[in-house]
Amino acid sequence: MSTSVRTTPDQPPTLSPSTGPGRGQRSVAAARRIQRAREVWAEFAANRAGLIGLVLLGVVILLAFLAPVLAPEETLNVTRITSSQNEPPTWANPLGTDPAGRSILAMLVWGARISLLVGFAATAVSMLIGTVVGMAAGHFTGVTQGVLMRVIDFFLVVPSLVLAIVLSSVIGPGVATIVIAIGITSWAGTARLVRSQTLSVESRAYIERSWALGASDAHIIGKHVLPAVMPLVLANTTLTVGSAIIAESTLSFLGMGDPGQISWGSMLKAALDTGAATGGYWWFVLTPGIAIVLVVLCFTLVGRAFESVINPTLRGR
Amino acid sequence: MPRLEFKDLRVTYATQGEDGPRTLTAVDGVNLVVEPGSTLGLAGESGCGKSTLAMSVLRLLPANAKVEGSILLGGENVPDLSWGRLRTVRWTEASIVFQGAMHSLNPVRKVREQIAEALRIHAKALPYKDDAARDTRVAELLELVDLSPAKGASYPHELSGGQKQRVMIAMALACDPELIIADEPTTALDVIVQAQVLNVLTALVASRGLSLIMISHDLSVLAATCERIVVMQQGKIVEDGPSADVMRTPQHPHTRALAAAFPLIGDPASRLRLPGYTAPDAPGANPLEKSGTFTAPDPADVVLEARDLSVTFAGRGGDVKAVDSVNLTCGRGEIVALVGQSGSGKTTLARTMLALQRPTSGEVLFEGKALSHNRKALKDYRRSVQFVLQDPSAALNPKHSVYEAVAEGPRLHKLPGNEREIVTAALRKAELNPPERFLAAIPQELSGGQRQRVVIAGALALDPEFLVADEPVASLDASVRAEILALLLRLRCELGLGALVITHDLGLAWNIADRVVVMFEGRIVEEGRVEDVLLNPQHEYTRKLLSVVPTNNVVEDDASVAIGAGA
Repeated sequence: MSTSVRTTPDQPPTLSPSTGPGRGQRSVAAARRIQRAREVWAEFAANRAGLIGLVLLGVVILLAFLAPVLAPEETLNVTRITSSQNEPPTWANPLGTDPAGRSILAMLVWGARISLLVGFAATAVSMLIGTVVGMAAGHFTGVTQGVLMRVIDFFLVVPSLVLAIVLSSVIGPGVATIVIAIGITSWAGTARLVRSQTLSVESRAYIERSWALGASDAHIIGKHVLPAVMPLVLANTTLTVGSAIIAESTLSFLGMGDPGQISWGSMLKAALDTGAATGGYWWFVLTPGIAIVLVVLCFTLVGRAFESVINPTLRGR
Repeated sequence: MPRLEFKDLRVTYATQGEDGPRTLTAVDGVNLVVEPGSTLGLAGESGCGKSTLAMSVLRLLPANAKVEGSILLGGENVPDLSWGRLRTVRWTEASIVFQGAMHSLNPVRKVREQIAEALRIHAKALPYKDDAARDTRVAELLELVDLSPAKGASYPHELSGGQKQRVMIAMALACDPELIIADEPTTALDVIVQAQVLNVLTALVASRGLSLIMISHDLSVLAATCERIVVMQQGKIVEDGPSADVMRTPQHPHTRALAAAFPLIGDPASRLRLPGYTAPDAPGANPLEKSGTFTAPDPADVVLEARDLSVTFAGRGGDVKAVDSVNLTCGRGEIVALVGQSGSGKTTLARTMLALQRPTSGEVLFEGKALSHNRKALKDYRRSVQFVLQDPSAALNPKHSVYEAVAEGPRLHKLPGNEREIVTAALRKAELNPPERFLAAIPQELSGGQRQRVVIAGALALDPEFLVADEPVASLDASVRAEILALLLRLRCELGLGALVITHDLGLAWNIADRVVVMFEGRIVEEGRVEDVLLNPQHEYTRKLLSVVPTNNVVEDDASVAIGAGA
């Protein structure tokens, strides 16, 4: 006995025959999409933790955007600084100063830009590779699938940190290097996930119908598989951004980043290099660390909430 | 005292609608009495509340269900029972044979342990306290349902569908209940296995004096097993009477629709004739209607042909020949029914004819030319031969609107002309009127029959020469079944569109087909005109298939027309 809600077949709006071919349908499809987006938002908003995460993230992103206004660049210019070195938190410098006398709050705001930028860019690279390879590995059979799966397996087992270090030493340090290094090392998990979803979608009868209609591989992937894996990929994206930010911090901490740019990882590195960690200057060590934890936590909360929207069975767990 | 009595029973479900909470009435004021030792058939379409009624007896409804009225089981009101008492009553006084034996057994435990589970739970009240006593009881139960006790050591996947269903019956019998409720016990089974299961049930009822409530959407199954039939529609009982009366003189229009949906093989009133449509060449059709463009199909004008076709799958323990040297021809404008029980290779044959499966040997010919497997030729072929799938709910992408689903084919083949016109014309041909109303709907907003019409419209949009339909009505309700078959018949008569219809339902063949092909273990064992094969079967297997089709006992006395029903 099914107790699921069967939506009442509401009368689809009658379309006047005067609308050109497909145009009426497109506007109806757009209306449906807006309707669906509203539903998704309502379900997402019902998850309080996810909502808090989203609001905090919004604030962080806003601060990162406004960095040049909030803390003009000259405040970080070592030659123009008035504050003394390693100053504990005061009203003038709420989070204290670093061993060069720069305001840690200002550095934190500037660091957010790089950390978020790398986080998003690396995730985009990873998702793109993961989705394409995953769908291909799920769709094709035989040799293609075998080869792709072995490549995925290789990237799953390879120690990603070591590979990233090797890559950045080959390409040379910099933001782009970190983005590429993280992107290339973190897509394999996504590919596995996308492949399994592809396999499950392709076993449905409507794929068989599509083949019988004369569909090509591109049609099946583009029209049926991609729309079905997209929500999964998006939910996974928010979760991956968090780990990409951690990876960025790790790589910057290990000195792979651009030395001229401040990121949260490079702040931690500076804290270690200058002995802040052992010298009792806790404000220089803790603040970037807490910032990383907070942002990653926000992404995880948002990701989990989004996941429960697309997969209702996770709700209430 | 009646064994079971429903007094003004109402069951409502609290659900979440689009605009806030709603209530859905599943059972609406049912009064019903089941006497000890009687058999009752409960018929109705999906969603009429028959399963809800059954589950309410053991309080197995989900938490959002609200029960009003009373359910007296052996004099006790079930909604008022304490939890402890309810647990005792479950299985010792009434038990259920659940729908879908395939999914109701635990796949990781031996069936013996699963049958013994009920015995162990009720060990206090019953004399099965130690393992030895339980083992003897399980062996006894398995014998009751015609299974050897050695089968108890098997896991569910090692048993066939019919054997699994019999294990479910053994489970239901475990604690010697007074009442057994069988919820669609044979729906997923093919005719031969269905007959076995029904025989087991009837024999048990007769020998042990049980009360049986059997739920089904198929009136003929109920007529074969039960003394009394109750028909439900939208939560209400619309007809109640002795089986023979209900079958012979149905009073309510809904009962008539249900009864008409399953034709009697041999009855000229249902040959090429369905409620709502009669083919011009049906026996006794009005000759005035014979005018028009209709020409009887010419079997010599072959559209689709399989020549010495074999398909072999590599399985564990050697290769499996799913299709074995099959020769099959389908004429233009001719409906060919391919019948056989599940596992006979008919779906594999259809998929091979559609070039969705490569043959191991032999070839498929379309209009006399052998099918090549290069991309271009295949695409052209697929424009001419279209596929209608079994389950319309799965055959449509849930995210695509009707318009997109129907336009998919024309877009793939870049058909010339106005796409919107092609789509509306196809919808009109599939009898979805007015087409504008359906264009923007998504599959979940449509009923099962409408979904199947959309699938058919999608095929018609390409203006095919021939259709291949794999069990096109197997997953549809009885009344919808007749509508879809009428549509296929109308397409044959008005557009000259032939079809290869795969089915395990011989009544379907009688309803619409010109020729019937019987398949058994990958081989074609008999073929010929429907009247010849179904009324005068030559092969032993065809006779067996025909003998197990449950028939209404109405025409049974009239042996000159009907086939004797063996079930």
